[in-house]
Amino acid sequence: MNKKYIIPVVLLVGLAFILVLLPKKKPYNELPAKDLLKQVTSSSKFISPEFVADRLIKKDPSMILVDVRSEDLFREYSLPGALNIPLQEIVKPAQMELLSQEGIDYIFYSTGDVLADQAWILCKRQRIDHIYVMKGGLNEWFSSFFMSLPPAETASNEEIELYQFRSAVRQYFTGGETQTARKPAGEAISITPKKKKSAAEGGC
Amino acid sequence: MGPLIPNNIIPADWNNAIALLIGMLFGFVLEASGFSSSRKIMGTFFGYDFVVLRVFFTAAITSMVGILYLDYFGWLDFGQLYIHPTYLMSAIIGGVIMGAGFALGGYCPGTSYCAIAIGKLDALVYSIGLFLGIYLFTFIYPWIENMFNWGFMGYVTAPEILGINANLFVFFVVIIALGMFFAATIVQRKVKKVEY
Repeated sequence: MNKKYIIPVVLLVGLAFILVLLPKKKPYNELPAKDLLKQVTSSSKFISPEFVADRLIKKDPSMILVDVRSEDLFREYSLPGALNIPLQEIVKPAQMELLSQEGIDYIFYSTGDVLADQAWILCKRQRIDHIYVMKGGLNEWFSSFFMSLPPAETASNEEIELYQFRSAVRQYFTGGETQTARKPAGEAISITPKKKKSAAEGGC
Repeated sequence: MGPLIPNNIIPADWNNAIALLIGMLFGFVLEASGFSSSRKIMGTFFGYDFVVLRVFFTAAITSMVGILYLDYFGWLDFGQLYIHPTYLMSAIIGGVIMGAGFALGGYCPGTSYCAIAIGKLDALVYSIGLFLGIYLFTFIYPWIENMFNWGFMGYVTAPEILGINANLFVFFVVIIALGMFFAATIVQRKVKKVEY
């Protein structure tokens, strides 16, 4: 054998032999891509703002809201009792450990759905369960509780109950002040004064 | 952690651009190593030049060892790598046909393009034949479909079939490959040298 091949051959055999001697490595804790895909496409990860509000009002200790927006936005406005874990920091071991606590539902929210959804995927990949996304984020929160219009007179009982619940939530979070959005100008109710009945004149 | 594109470390839009770049580099190395000469591949069959055997097996064993180390240190998720499905009968028949094509034409599909790039007409004829073969295959596929699918084993690897540790399997492959290189050197010494 040519002498110039001795070093590469020894190196290759040595490396291959070390592979055999290496201790068994820990299996990856990450969720396989196929399983992740199933869960990503499932709608069960979403929780409606009404459900979140209900648990907030009841002071449910098994729910923790996680605001995944930046620290500045979190300071500007956040939901009561929410933790701030910006998306960039969510994969840090300390945060992962925090989110892995048993018996607690972690509900991610952001301005819309996107950041919270990304945070959900990152955590799900690390096999963290009991995590959800608040559907529509803060945008949906505001439109549901602060911009909702009263139902029409012909609305179903469910719609009326939903509106009443939303109004109650609004009262709870704004300290009793109810401010419903104004109806569009086109829908203003015009009041037509009733004509005074004229007294019957003459005989029948 | 790799693979880089599935994990979005490199955006998926770069997929084709990277493939093109790697393809060009691969073609350059093939041509620079003399693989655009049909006599090089023919040398393996006649025993006067085993460089093809050495180069491709060296590439295979180096990448096998490299991938296992990368996986071990957590830089590459082996589970995310694509494994081509095994169709046993197709592999056997396809292997025989392809081997016959190598022996007749003196090229493999990759080296034939390298040879076309430097203007070799035999490689051009070879590649036309290659495309004709693919074209004809589409017509005869309905007749040979059962045979094609016979022995489908799914996305399996050799260590899984053999039921042994992947690292041990790679060690054996390295030893076998080096043994083949040594045997090839002995054969090459005994066969009359061909100048080309």
